[in-house]
Amino acid sequence: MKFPYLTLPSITPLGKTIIDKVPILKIEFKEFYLNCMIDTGAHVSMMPAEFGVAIGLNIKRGEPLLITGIDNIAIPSYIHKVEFYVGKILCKIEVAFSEKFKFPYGLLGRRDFFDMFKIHFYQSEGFFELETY
Amino acid sequence: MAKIKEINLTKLIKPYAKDNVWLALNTIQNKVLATGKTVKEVIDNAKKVSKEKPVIMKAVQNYSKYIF
Repeated sequence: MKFPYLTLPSITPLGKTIIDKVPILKIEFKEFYLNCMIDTGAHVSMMPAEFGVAIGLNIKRGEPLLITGIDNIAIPSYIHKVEFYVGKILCKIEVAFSEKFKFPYGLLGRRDFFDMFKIHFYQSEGFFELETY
Repeated sequence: MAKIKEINLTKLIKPYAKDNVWLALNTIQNKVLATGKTVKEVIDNAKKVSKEKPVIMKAVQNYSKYIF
């Protein structure tokens, strides 16, 4: 399955607005899709806690996990097994939900998701490809 | 090989970026169906105006600052 990169606005440290191509995948839940960036640097997928609430989870019943980012600050999160579709493929992956995670989209990290798909990036051509094992 | 159609959200997001609101986009992501201050609110607002399953993401001015 091939998907386009999304072009999004970005601002350089000097204040110049540039455009940025981001490998964002639209994953499908029962009532909505959620845009998620494919993040090879993330060991686990992450989503804002309010997404978990929107799909009916009691966030704090998940397995607690402290996740540390590049700023070396650990944020509390809770792991849940989450089901969604990518195209017609049902995915069941572990996702860490956190109230401290304030990204504008979810992150699809290596645990489970990268075990399901071979992922090929063709950034200069503007698309990426998921291939099931 | 068929070319994959580009999705450029720059212009679509711009009017909402300063407010940091959640957006409900239509399925092909070329139209804003609704906005909301929370995920629940944006989903509820999208249901009021469309039967289409919305695509949810947040409008911000600078997407490159989000590195975890």
